[in-house]
Amino acid sequence: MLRFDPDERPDATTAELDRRLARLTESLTDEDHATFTPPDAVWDGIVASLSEERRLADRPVVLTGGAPVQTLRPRRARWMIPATAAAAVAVLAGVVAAVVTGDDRSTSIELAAAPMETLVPVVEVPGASTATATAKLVRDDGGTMHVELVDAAMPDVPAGYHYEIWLVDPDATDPHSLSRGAMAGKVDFEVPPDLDPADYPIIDVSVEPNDGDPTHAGLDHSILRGRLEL
Amino acid sequence: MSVPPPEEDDVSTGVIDPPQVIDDPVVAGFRAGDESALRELYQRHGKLVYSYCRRTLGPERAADATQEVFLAAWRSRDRYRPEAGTLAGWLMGIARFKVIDLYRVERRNPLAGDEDARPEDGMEHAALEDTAQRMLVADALETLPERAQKMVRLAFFHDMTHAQIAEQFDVPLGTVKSDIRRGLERLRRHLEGFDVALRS
Repeated sequence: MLRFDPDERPDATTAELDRRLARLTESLTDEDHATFTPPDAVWDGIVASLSEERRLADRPVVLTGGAPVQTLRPRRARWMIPATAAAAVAVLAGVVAAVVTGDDRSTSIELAAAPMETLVPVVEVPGASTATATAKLVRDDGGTMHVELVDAAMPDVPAGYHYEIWLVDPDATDPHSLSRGAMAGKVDFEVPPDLDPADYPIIDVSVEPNDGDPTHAGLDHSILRGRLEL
Repeated sequence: MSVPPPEEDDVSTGVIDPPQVIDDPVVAGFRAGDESALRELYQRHGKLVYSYCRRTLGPERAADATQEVFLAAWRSRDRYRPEAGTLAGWLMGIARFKVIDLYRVERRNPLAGDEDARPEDGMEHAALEDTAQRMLVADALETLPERAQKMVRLAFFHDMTHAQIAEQFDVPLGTVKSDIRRGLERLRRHLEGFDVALRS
């Protein structure tokens, strides 16, 4: 055990840190000291992602209505840029615009609709059982696909978390974030043009920690989920 | 590299080695969004983060996970406060999140995981967290000046008093005290950085 300097009177926080340090240091193994140099592809992948994000950030936001638009940093699922192929792989990026439409999209075609199942997320959300929405897939007259949530009602999200909507493939291995934030009433999200909704028929709303991690926190974080029959 | 002056509130009381905390132009550049500073930080800490990911996830997935840790750090760089803890600790806190997340997703979804690629399959969250902290401390110990490193190790491992250490190194007691105090302060700040990432 570490001997403290008798002249030093550590406060409670410092004493706790020192206890941890002592425990950690005493239990260090050779393996803890072993380090490996990452392959070059790791840094190359970071550069490729940053470059793609800059490109998307410069892209104009599409607006089809007058309501406020939330723009997002493009979010990247964990599988999107394998470091092993980073330099060569074009980056798929999440959509950057969440679009709230007016009622003037008269020529839109509703392709599918499904009530969403209310789930119990692992994060405690007071009133989680009251969450409700119906998911729709709509093609607008320009051919752009949209996911709509209608009759959406969500409880307040706990501090430190946010809601996020995803398109998910049937194997749940490749979730794509569409947008994040409050979802109430009718909300409309543009589907990225490179994403075929038929391959991603599951609409999922999750409770994500504000930890800077762009990936889906796990299926046990979902509060609503529905599957469109396409 | 464009380096803004330190913010006034960086100079808080009780901060260890304040010049080091606020004067590191690389950290300042990182917070200001300078990609060359990110590169420098990757060169400093990429090995540690990658080694942790490799140990917990296996070599195949360590590369992607490391990449994601640095991208996550970059995207939330405005939330990093140098006075709250070291960047190495903060990055390892994020890495720990990432690894636990990947374990969780794979447990829920066996289709996504290559079970053979995970050398420490079944590691519990507490063990993943502990491993991250031990590797952080191991790395941090090696960055201490050699004499301070030896003194801290003697105090920890060999339960030696400061007077005994002073005798062994043939230096004044005050030198031992200040070397160990500074060493400990640096190590504490790594854990503090780790904890800030946990709370973010």
